[in-house]
Amino acid sequence: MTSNPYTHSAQEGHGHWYWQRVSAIALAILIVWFACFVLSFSGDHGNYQAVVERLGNVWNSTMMILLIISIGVHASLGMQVVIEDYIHNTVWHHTAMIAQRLFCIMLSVMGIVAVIKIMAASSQMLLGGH
Amino acid sequence: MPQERPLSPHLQVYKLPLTGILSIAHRLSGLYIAIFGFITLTYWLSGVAGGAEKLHDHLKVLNNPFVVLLMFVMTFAVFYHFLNGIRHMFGDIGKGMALEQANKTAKIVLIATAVATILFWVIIA
Repeated sequence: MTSNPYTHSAQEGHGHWYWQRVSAIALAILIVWFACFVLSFSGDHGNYQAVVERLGNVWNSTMMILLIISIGVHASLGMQVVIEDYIHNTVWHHTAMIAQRLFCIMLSVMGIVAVIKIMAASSQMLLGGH
Repeated sequence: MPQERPLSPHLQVYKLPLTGILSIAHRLSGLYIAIFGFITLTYWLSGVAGGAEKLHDHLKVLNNPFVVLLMFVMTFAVFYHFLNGIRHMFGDIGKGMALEQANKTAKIVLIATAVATILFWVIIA
């Protein structure tokens, strides 16, 4: 941890710049899939059977997990920049930075675990002949 | 606190040009998606993972008129961040950086965002 937050990006700048763009390109593709995925329910995203069936599809679960990971990475890098630019108090800076990272990791893992559970439910449905 | 490093523009005393407004809107929409969008997506997925009844409960919250309004703003924010992000990528490879072009693409992004948002909700409704 550096004592001076202003030097933070000077040390990790390249990795940040690179992964910000990698995740941005991934998201530009994934968001098109997600928009089509949401529209495919035509407002019926509350139909349990339909949602599980579609999310249980290997292609869709792969894209959803990739979407979650990409959002997690991109959101964390983005919030880092905002914190670096606007929160200059050292204590608040580090507090916000840690909170932001934990938030992204927590939601990413939760989303992936949910998709895995949905995949299991989908297999169950197939086996049960529903 | 060291003061040698440059600070971001002081938004209170500086009238932003159109490109500046788009830039700050990029950050605001990003924050909105990162926090509220990420939570909503996870909330919906965990509802589905929890079974039919859990999904029903979670949808009650998601279908609350206030949340629907927030989701309308969300689609606007996502389309905006997506389209303006692509505009930024062109900037990364050195295209569209001249002031006149930057202003033109800024307007295109705003119009395309509005059209995409309305089209999305017309299709889904």
